[in-house]
Amino acid sequence: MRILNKGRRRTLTAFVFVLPCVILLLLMMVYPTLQVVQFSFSRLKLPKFDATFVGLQNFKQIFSNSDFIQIIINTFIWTGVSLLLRFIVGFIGALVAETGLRWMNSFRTLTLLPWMVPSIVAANTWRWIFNADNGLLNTLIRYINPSLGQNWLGSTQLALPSVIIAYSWAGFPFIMLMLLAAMQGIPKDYYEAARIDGAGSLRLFRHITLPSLKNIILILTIMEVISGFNSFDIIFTMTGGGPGIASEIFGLFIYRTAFSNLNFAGSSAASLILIIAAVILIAIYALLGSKKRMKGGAY
Amino acid sequence: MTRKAYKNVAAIIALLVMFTMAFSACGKQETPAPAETTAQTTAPAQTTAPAEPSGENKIVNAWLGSWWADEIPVIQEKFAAAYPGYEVRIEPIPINNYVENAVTAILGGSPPDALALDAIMIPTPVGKDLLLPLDDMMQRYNMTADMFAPGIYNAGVSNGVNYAIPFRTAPSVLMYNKTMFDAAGVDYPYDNMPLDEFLEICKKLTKPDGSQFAYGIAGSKSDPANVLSSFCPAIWGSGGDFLTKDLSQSAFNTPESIAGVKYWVELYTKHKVVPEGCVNYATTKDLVPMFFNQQIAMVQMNDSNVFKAQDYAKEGGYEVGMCVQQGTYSRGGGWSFTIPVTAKNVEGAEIFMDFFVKPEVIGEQKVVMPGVIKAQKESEYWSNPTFDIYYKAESHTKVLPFHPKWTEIQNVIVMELQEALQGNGTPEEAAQRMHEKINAIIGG
Repeated sequence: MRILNKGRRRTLTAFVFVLPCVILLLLMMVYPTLQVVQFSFSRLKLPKFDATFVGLQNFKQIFSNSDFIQIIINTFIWTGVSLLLRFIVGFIGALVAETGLRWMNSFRTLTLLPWMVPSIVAANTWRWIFNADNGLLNTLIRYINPSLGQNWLGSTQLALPSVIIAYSWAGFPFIMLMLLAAMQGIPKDYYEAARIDGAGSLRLFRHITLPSLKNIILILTIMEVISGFNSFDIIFTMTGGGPGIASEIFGLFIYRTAFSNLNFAGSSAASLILIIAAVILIAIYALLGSKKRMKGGAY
Repeated sequence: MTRKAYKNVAAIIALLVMFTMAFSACGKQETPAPAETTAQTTAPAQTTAPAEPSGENKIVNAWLGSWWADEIPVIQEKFAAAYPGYEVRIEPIPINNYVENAVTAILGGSPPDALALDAIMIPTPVGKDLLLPLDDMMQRYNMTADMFAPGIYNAGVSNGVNYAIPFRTAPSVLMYNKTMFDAAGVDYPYDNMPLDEFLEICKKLTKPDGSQFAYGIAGSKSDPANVLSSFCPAIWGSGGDFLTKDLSQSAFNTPESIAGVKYWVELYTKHKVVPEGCVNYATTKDLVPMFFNQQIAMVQMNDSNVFKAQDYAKEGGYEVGMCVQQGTYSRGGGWSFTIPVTAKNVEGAEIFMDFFVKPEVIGEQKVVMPGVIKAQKESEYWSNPTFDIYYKAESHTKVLPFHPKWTEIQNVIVMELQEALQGNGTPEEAAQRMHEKINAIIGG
């Protein structure tokens, strides 16, 4: 006797085949997250990670750190400004590459170079460019006016902006590439029809290009925010978070807490804060996006 | 069987294979329980005699810094010849994230059996019970403290227990550009020059237009070990210290320690005798090249760059000299072998470590200055008179406090020194902040 009909049997078969992957995903993504939650409320005994529940003690320790507020502010500046810079440069790059002028293939290849360079190499190159005494930037500036040279990485005011420039440089090609791919998917008929109706370049961009890219922009924003929150390698190499805590960001703080101080409970608590913050931000962004979609507007 | 039935059987088999692969990939790796002491894991009263071959070689895994890469095949070959029953596999690990990789490997249950660590990397893992005590091993292999350079040996000792077998010592000396001194009409520096005299020659050597500085201090937060090496002559030369003798409190509230902070910071903020970028400079990466380029007249120099410096001087048409660093003491450091608690072949690790520090082995290589005194004296290369000043400097070194929370403490010191260099408060205020933060770390 057949218990299931043909359709259900096929669904069940598909489900059973997908199951190993689902289990793998759960083990690789959900289990570590749950462990971070458990560790953040525990005291850990190494090397076996024997956990003893301590309630909110790890969180209290983090919030009582006198540098915590500044680190949070730095993280938001780091993430927000680098996101903006990457998008601006990425958009310009994509629009130029989309023009179809001569040499555009070479242009595309060249603009991808920053993305292909390993981050440690990029960080050391920018460290040299920003070097106060022998750096390329100061050498050029001092050629114009000797008094204009700056201590780019050694000054509280300039260290974070300098590192943001390096980080944005390393990441804009990814944005450019994604936007370019999405732009190439926009039907040319739209532009032709709009042009016949008398639309100029700006209006074409405002009413056709931008709305057509909204989904990819949303995805890229989420990815970049998460990447910005987690990043530490470029900043670690260029300034180590200094001078003082001028360029210290949350990713670096977590890394230092875990691997320098071997305080894995503290770093788990900090990671949990970061996860919650990222989820809230993404939820707000998605909510705003869906409201605008319901109204029929672009975002 | 119908064709459909064959398909079903094939599908079920495929499914089973997928499940098996998935679960075997997620299977927990067997990790040995941490050994309590080396005595439990090694054969008692074994001496250094080579082990008898037992058919298959026993593998010993070891980690060294990547600068050993060229020397590793030679070491492996020599070890195989000396211990036919054993095979050592040495992995050269880049210094970037070295300690993080080591900690991950230890906690993941797959560490090397013998792990080389910089002196500054040892206290925190010891404080977390991640390294085995090695006193019993030293006894079994007839090793004594006086066989090793005192600076690096003491850097592995906590509460009278030794956790590390030193193989490299790394005292720094003060290298100076004689030609720049002559041009400025200034007498050369001398061994343990008092700090006030050192400051005076710095002022005379520095040109106001920024084209020449007297000295370089390292302030980079990316390289805290460099900062401390740079800062130690100032704080110890002023009679101060980092922590109290019993390591129970910060010592940054003492007038001597405050004077040390003030001296070091004012080289940059008040006297301006060091380059502008020093806040973010490391010694080897930034200051040594500036010395080679004759932009600074004096620099801390370790043994690994000494011949390169002489070559640069020859090419650049200038002369260099060396003396023991200014002040009373400089930072003693170096590298030692340790055994992680989760190491699988403790016995093999001990045999390899004993082999590695033999004077005829460690004295043969030209990569690092041996931390074994006999190797320093007997090796043809390391007994070169150029290194005499380093051996002299070694006797004027002190080690950083062996505190289990040292990396946290060190981070506070570097951060506050940077703040003071930036002019964010006076050096006295920076010392006070260090005192409070360090006490909070120790107390917490």
